[in-house]
Amino acid sequence: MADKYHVIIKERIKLFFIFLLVLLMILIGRLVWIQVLQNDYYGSMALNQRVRDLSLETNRGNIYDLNGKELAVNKKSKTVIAFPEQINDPANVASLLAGVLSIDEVNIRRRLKRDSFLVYIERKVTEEQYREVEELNLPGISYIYEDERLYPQDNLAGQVVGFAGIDNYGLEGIELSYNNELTGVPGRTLQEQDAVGRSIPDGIMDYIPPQEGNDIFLTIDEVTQYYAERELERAKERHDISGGSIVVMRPEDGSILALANKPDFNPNYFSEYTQNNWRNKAVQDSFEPGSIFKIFTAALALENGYYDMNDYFSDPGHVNVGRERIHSWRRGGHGWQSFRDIFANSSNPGFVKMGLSIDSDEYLDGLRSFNFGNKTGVQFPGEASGILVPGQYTDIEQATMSFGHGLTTTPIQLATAVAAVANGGYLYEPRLIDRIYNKEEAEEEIIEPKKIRQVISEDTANKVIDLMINAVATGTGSSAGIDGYLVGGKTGTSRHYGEEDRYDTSFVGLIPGDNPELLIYIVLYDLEDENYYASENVVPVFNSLAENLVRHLDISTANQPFPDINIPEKNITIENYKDRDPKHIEEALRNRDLNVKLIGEGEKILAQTPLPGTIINEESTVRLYLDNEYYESKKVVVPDLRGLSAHKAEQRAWRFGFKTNGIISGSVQSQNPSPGERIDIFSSINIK
Amino acid sequence: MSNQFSSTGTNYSRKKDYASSKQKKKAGITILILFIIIILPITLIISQSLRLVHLNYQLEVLENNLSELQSENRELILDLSSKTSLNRIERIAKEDLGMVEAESVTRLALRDGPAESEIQYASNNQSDWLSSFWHGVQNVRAATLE
Repeated sequence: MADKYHVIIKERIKLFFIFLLVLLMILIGRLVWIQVLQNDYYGSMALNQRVRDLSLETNRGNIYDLNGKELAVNKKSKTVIAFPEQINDPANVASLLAGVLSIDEVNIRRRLKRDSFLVYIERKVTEEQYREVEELNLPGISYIYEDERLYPQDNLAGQVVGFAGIDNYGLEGIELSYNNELTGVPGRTLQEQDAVGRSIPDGIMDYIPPQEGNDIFLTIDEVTQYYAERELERAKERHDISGGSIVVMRPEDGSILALANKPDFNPNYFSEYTQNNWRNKAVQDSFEPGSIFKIFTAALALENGYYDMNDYFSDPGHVNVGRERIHSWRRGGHGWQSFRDIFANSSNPGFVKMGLSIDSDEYLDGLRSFNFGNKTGVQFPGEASGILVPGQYTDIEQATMSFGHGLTTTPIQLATAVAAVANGGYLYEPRLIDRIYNKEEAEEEIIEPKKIRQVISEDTANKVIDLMINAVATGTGSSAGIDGYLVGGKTGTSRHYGEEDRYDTSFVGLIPGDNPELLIYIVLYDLEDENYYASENVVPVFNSLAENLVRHLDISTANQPFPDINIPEKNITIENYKDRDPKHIEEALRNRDLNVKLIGEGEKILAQTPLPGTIINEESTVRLYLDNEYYESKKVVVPDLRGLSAHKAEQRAWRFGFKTNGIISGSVQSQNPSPGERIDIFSSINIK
Repeated sequence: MSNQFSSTGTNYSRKKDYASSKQKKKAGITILILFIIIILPITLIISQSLRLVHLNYQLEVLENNLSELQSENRELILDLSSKTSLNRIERIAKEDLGMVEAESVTRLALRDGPAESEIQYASNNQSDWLSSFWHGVQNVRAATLE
């Protein structure tokens, strides 16, 4: 019995062990299935649970002024986020959040109902706003930090710096043009984390460090910029203008110390302003420059040998070009004027005569070499190139261009071109970036000044500077003078086409005049004052700004109060050079301190101005025609001979290449053709 | 005989006890050695690992602190920059302190120093460093007195 009992127990134990064995086999099978066959699948699932792949944000580079004053920096701001799965009543949460955030309830509700792990509610809110959100104590609502771009100087240089959008991508100004430099490269980290999100030591780790954006140091000087913007603001209060621009530049290398515009905007709240406020008008808008452009007509006339400093012009109050009549700004004109005087008095007829004397190809090539009609290359988005030749090009276009009408330029173009005159003839690319600091490499890259080309000789540049000094000392820019400083400058006023009483007035000044360290260019737009002359509106702006800048920038005072421009009278009688060898005559005349312009090509001199017997001073021009094509159809402005004695009238007519007809006693009462007409050279003027 | 046997037996038992205690001693030493070889390094490794974990957590906390301080520093720089903006300074100067802009500025142009011809040199024939020092002192005095 007992044996039987033992056998049963043994059998049961055997069965139990078999059962356990089968169970073990099943477990082993399952283990093999999970650990071996499905290893990759479960391995990656486990890894995903522990490992966090995080993108590491990088800091956008800062923008500073020349001396390291912050113009654009970053700040960590809170972005309100939500975890939709944890929110039970989206409608109620949306309603509560809409009460404290600036986003509407419907929008919030829509976001909360999204099938996402995490949604943004509002990005980069203020601390006060987030505190109110926190007080609501809503489950599933939290925050993350994001970089916010801030502009601590508010409006100052706002149009230069520009702004970056919500994603820290540059949208305007330097923020846009140097976006690639400013934006760093985001990093990445792979971390094995514990249950509460802390990194597990010796866990899986991979780390690609973020590369910080580079810092940019502008050539803009905060104080100079402030003075410039303040003067524009004051000009807006005093005059009926739509705005203005100021460029302050160092002519020696084209560095821009200030680039101010009004109206302006605060980049911290850029969306509250119109696009017109965002515009950097000094770079992005072009306008008719007016008489300031006479600087370049004079420079090209001198450079190409058409005129010299002691040549004379007749301004009878107007000049006829084709069917158009161009007036002088002064009724009755400025009369008989030297080169210096027509520049100082800004005589339009004088400059029309000068402009039309220059070969059109030489004139246009010269202006193009100054970069008119082309972008200057300043590293700023949306730079305008201006229009040099709008369409057809005839005498009337060249005549109007000679005094700055019929073409458009940007303020930065004009300032750069005047800087080329001021520094001895070298055109530089306007320099807005001084250096770029690479934080990763701790290296500083200096952005060297970029010389483009020589546009005029040093001798011509000095003569033009002399003209500009004279214009401030005796001419239209006389109120621009500063005690103790020699100032050179030129005014410009241009009336809007088709708008009788609307003007753009401008002034460009060089300080000190004899060795320019600073160039200040100012333009006021859409002036509607009764007194529209530059001396009444823009020159006082220059004067006030320059007074502050010479002190702030420590500009050296004048070595002498005013340069000696007393011209010694050296009477030289012009002989008849017809059929003579041009080379020998040129040499002989140059030896007598006369300027010689050979016109055309040929072996012999065929004609000349002044005519034989004319008495002229040194530094006057003798034109020798070597090819009849150049004078047979050439038209010249008839000088005003009225009121002169017979001898003086004859001398003046000969100087311009005319003969006189008529015997008079006393002075000339009338003449035919009348002054200001343009007739064939070497024809006769009848005098009575 | 029996005594002999018993005495022999006792000796044998003593010998056996002695051998047994010796073996025990050996085993104890072996266990101790094993403990030293295996357990101690393991203990050390674990304690180091724990220490590493602790330090790592500390590092994380410190990194967070650093990040917060950097952020705070950035905000202070921003605040300083805003507070020293020229616009604000001018506004405070005019509105709070009642300052006004100068209506006119008078400039005095000063030369850097007297011209060479204006400096009166004392006669000095010595050529050593002392004389050059004295010469310099005299020049300064002469220039200052001009």
